[in-house]
Amino acid sequence: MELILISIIASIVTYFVPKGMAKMVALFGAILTLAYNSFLLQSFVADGTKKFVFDTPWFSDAVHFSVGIDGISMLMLLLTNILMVVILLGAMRKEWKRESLFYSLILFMQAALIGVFVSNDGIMFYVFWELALIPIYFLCALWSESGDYKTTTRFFIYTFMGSLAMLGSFIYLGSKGLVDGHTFAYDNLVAVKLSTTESMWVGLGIFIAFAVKIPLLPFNAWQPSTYAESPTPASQLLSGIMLKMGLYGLIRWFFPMVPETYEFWSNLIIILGVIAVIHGALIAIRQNGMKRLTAFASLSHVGLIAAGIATITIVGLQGALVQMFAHGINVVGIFLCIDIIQRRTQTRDLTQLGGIAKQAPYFAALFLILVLGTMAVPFTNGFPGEILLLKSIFGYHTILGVIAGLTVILCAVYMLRMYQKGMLGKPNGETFHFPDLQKSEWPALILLSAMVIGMGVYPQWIVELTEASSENILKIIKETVEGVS
Amino acid sequence: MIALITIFVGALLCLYLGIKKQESFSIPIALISLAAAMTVTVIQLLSKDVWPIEMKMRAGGMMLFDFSSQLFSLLLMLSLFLILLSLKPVKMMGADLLGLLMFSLCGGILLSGFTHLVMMFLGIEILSIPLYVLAGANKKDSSSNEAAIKYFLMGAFSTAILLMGCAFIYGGTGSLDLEGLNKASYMMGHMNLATPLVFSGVLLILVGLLFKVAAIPFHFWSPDVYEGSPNRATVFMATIVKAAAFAGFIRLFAVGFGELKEPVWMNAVIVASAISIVLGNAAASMQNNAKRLLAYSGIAQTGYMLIAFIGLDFSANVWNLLIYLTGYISATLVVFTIIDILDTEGKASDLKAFEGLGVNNKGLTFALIVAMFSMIGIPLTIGFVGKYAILTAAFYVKPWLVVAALVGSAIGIGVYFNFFKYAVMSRTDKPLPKLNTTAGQKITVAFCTLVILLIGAMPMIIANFKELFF
Repeated sequence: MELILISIIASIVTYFVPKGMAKMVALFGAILTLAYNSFLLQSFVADGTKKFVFDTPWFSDAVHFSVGIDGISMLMLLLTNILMVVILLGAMRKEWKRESLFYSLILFMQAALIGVFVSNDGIMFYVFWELALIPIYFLCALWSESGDYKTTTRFFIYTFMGSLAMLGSFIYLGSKGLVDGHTFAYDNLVAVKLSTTESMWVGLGIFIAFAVKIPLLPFNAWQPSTYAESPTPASQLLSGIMLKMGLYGLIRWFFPMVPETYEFWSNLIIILGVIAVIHGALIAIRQNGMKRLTAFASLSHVGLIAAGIATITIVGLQGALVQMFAHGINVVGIFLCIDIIQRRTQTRDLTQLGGIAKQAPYFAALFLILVLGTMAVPFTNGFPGEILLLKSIFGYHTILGVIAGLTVILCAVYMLRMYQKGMLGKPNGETFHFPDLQKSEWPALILLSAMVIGMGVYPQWIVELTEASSENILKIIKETVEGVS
Repeated sequence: MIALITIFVGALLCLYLGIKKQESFSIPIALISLAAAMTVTVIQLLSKDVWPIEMKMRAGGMMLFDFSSQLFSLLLMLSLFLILLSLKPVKMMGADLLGLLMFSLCGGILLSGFTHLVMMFLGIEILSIPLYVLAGANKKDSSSNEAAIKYFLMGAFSTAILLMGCAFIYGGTGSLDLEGLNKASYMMGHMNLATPLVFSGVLLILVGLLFKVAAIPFHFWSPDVYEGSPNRATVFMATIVKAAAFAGFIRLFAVGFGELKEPVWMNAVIVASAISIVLGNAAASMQNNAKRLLAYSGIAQTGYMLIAFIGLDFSANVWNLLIYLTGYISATLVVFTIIDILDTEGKASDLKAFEGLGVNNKGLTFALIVAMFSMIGIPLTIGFVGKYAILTAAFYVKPWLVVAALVGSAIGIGVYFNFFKYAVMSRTDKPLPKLNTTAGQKITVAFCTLVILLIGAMPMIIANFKELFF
């Protein structure tokens, strides 16, 4: 509750402070939120129940403003708030038009994301889910690189349609549930028993919303162009945090809502996920635009995470959570590096780059750490999550596991190709005067790299943080399934 | 009743000032009488514990000012108050036309409180006839004349159908009183005795009222009339006329024909609603005239409001409709005020006129964005609260209608993004300069935006009111 308030207030203040001050105020707001979040973490006990609960009637008795934090939410909050500081540090290097509006939208986004991760009520979840879309829409459209708003509008329409489907499903669940009292409470929605047909339709609605956001394969048409056209902070927000909304939704909302047909949905999601792994990776290998490459790489990674979630095993869920955290850090870092390169050379086309490593060794070293993290080299943060995910998929079906396992190789191919073409070789005209890291780039990249290594060495804390909550969710699904059969 | 008389006297005074050529006083007089009427209504609403309201406010057995009617008439008066505030300086608006607006409002208030079909008919006529004049108020503009004639013919036609329906109902039930109708329809609804006469009577009345609220398939007049009429008449039609017609509509169908819902009229309303939402939004997305666009989007909004008729609990339905109308009126007022500000010469209001609005007019653009979000139904606006209330109530009855509504909403995004496209996204070389706005226009826009956001963010404010009154 207080977290949302802090960022909303910071957002409003940022809008009204004089020009030039806005970025400092925004950064201060983000750091304050992170500090408060760490303070909450201090007194947090990960036993699977919701902590820091705040609950008051909102629309009517049926819809409450109800928040609570359990282990999974806490992990997502940490991810959001850490990345928000990094994104702001990265964004500060550039002068933006209408600066106060820009930073104010970013902070507003943070508030909405926090709301998504803590909400305990179906309608409230939907409300924040939509609210997160509005600032990102304006960020992408008003500051887009080509001045073309069509891509962004397509993105908005895609996701909005998906969300409407989810709203329909939630209302249907609500109409089947309690008539009086807090109808849309998470526990009450979960407790609703559906027939198989109903469960399929309800599941379809929620699935579309999350699949567009993640994005899973047939729903990913908005993704590459939106990433490529958006300003870097918006790409970072989209890929680093907003995708996690979809994955979080799968874990927290989707499977517990439709346990009756979970076998169908998990088959579907695993297959779509594994296809996305290969499809994204193969396209990424052929890309020359660095942002597009990262977009497809992201598609591939996220497909693997979704497949891991869909196995509905404790290993899969934990792998997914670890990997969600890791992927957020890596992809934000890589977008930051791309932005640094682009700012200095005016291009992000791999064919025109090369030799940066000689000119800027520190930058190259930090970039390499992030690349290795993405490739899931041992002792980086990508490794533990990916191993757990692959293990869970192997447990589900061996051949699918083998196919998904190719991701390790393919990922190495495209990431190393990017690094090699971009950073190694001889400097050309574009990259001959490539200054090394400056001012706020230092703390941002150092922080990210430190987390890449730190998490690679000691990932256990995430597992401990989320174990009880994950088991709770599995228990909900298992209980309903046994009750039905 | 006192409110009605106050407004009527105010209207007469306006006309008198028009004769005396003292037109500069007419707007203050109108505003004062509206403010007085609103104050009286609020006091009556709040003092409901002091006197039994039925005894106090029954007028000749044909009117009953109960809570729903008081709330509706409050909404109507407030809207006219805001419209008058946002008007341009007096020159654009003669005192006689102002008087007509006030008379029309009287009709709206009658319509929200009738208990007798004759009074309903009178209300509709008093509401409509001044509008036929207002639509043609730009005498030298041919499209305004066209609008007036179209509106008059269509209006007369629909009124005739409505009257026919009333006659059939009288033939079938022997009563024109709402209570009598309620009893008769209770018998018929429960014993399945609805005669063909009653059947066709209800459906004819339904057709007449669907004309008035502009629902597909009886919507053809609305885009042309909206486009041709002067802005002040259009905004009046889009907000007050629609709200008043709905007030009468739901009163008749909730109280009078409530028990005939299942056998007679529900399916017709559902079909009209679903088609209005989907086709209205689809047609709106293809317009490039702002007023035509709003006419079509108004048709779609009508569709949503029709969904409010099918919920199970009628007093909750009235309440949901009231919330939805409040949201719709606030958003419409914002957009029309901005159109009026842009439309300096009274020329066609092309969407291109919005180009580059966002550069120098931050406040107006923000209000426009909020209003559009409310129309789409994005959370934290009153539009979402209204849609949520209506759709959850309807879900128990017809789940697939809600699906149609959601599909329509998805199409609707494209409609309202047309405004963003010009106002916010365009990178034109010649953005609009800072526009001159009067204090009244600022107040209207700010007030409506505040309503949209405040009720959107904290719906419990009005939910508490509901418990007070129902």
